[in-house]
Amino acid sequence: MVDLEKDLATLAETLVKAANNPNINLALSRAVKSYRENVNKALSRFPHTVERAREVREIKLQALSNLQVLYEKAAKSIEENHGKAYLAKDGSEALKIVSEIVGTGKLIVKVKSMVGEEIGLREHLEEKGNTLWETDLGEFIQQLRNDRPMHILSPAIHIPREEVAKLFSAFFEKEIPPEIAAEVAAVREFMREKYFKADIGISGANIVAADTGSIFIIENEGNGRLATGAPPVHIVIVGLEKLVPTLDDAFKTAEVTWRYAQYTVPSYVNIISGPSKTGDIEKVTTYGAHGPKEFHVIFLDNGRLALSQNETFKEALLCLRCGGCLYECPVFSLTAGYYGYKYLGGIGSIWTAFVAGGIEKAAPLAYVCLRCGRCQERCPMKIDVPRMTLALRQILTGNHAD
Amino acid sequence: MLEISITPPATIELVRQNILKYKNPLGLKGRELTSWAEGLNFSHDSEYLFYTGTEYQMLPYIDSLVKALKTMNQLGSGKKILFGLRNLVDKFGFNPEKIYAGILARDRDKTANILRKHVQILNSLGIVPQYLGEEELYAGALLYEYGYLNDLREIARKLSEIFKSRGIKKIIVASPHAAEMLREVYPDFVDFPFEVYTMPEFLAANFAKLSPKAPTKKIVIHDPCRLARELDVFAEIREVLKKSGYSEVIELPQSGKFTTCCGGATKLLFPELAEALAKQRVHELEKSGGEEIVTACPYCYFNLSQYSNLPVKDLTEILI
Repeated sequence: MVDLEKDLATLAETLVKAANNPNINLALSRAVKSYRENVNKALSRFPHTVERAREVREIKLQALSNLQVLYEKAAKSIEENHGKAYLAKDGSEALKIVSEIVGTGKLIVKVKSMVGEEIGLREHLEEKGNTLWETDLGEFIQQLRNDRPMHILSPAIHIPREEVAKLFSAFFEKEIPPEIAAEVAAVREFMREKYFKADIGISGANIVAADTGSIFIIENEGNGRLATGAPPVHIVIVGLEKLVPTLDDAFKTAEVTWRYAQYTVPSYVNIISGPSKTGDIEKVTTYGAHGPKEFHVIFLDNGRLALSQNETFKEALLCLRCGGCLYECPVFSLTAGYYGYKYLGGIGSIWTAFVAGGIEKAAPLAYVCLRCGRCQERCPMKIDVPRMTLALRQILTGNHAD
Repeated sequence: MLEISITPPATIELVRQNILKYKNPLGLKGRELTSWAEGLNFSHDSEYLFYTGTEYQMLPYIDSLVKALKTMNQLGSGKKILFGLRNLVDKFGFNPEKIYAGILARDRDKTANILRKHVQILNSLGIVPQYLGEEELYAGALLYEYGYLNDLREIARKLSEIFKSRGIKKIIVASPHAAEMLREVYPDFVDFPFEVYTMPEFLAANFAKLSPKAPTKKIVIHDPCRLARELDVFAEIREVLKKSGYSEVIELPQSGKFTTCCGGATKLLFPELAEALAKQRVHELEKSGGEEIVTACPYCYFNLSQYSNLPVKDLTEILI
């Protein structure tokens, strides 16, 4: 029995505190403004994106009705490419598979991943006696702050540069001025050697093409290619919903994802299909050239397969994680990730209910959504969050016919 | 399917019981709901109905309830509120006279005036509509929002019967929230053979017969969420303003389909958050360069006017 009165009171307190935090206010108003400008610019420079988004919605809807088969196809392709594929039915199974590959006492460089957040990957690997560095700048800031991501793409969205400077000055034990370029340079210097000393690189993936077994990682910082290219082992953890049938579908999905994520053209799109290899001596293929020798892809179910069969809520799995909805959410723009559990905002409540957290955690969050509908206007997949929010509330009240 | 059982928050239970036992979310009665209509011209057999859904009338009281909730919050623990509100519902139904003692006559006059303007405009278009008076029921938007679909179905059935028994064919709805229920939701539940109009739609369609006041101020529009996104009504407001001589209406980037919520929808559950949301929207509107904010929804009207330095007007108020 969930006492919604109590849970709502606690949540209200958290949200109001966040809304009154001047740092969140300052950082979010800057971020929302620049998101809107950037995405409008991106869409007017590449106007075909809107039509392509409709096409991708159809591709993804088809894929959702076929996830198990797509997984089998992708796993077969990855194995043929001399990688290894796994299917983890839940978070603890995924952590067990990772632990068996990683062991203990290792140095790990990690690329930002919401699935990692979903299953508590960093905490788990640290508990097992490993050292792990978050290489994404925002996630690194949150790691130092011992805090969780406050936006799916920009984890430290709520921290203005002045606060970052204070944090870095303390950590690096030298004066870092409140200038973004200086802050970025300090992290670059610190992280550089880690990539080459690391035993393992861990990443998520934006898309997986089942036919070639290729994973896509869209990024700008360059940490993605270093962390997945330099260490001898690369582990990918990816949600099953990221599967699309073909490489062609994957390119389309990638373009829509980055454009609505306000990366007009991203600096890097990493496409990885297997371990590094060479056939330069006598045409004998040898694995483990300059890049990783091992390539492991762990597909995570954790409720996704069941959700893909649920006619009312399966739409939630279309989410590309572009983050556009969060910038348009009036509540999020006041409270950042305090409106959410692991997945954030209105769409986050649905994910909390079915994938990460459970219905009891989702219950109070489901009542925060204003059902104002602006997220859906922005969403490239046109995910109907207001409708699903209502359906979730009906489950909570039990006051519905079927 | 997911299974869970919850104890609903007292606020939701209060609103729900009031809607079920009385005729509106705050348990208002009699003249509190109908006095605005005194002295106006209505018909008993017109095919047109002017439907208020009791929303404009209750808005001034919602603020008082929110203030009462806030005060109670400051006084003590959440449990006290829970106990206090539960008692109110269980033992006395809901007693508006006590909680709403502080309600300002000025606020009541404001909303009454907006409703009167609606009817006067309809009259000037040659329409003398019916009004349900004390028979009128709240349309149930809050039940829908809070997830009580079965309860809503019951209201839809009752209202549909009332409309049919009065020979009504066309319904002009004052609030976008009620219009959403009547147009988008009821037809899923009951036979609902009525044409439903929001006021901006009706005005745009019949503008030729209207003789509006001359423009005085530079206007910035606040599109209500339900109106712009669920009901797809935003061009109509602009059309009416343009035809009324407003050559320059300020368009925010956050308008039309991308309008920003005023926070009114969450006022009862998260009053402080609603306040922050209203201030956020007011900030966008105030820096637009407009001299007056025009909207067409009771929640928006009230939530914005509380925090705005600019005057907030209902669309009907600036026309006549």
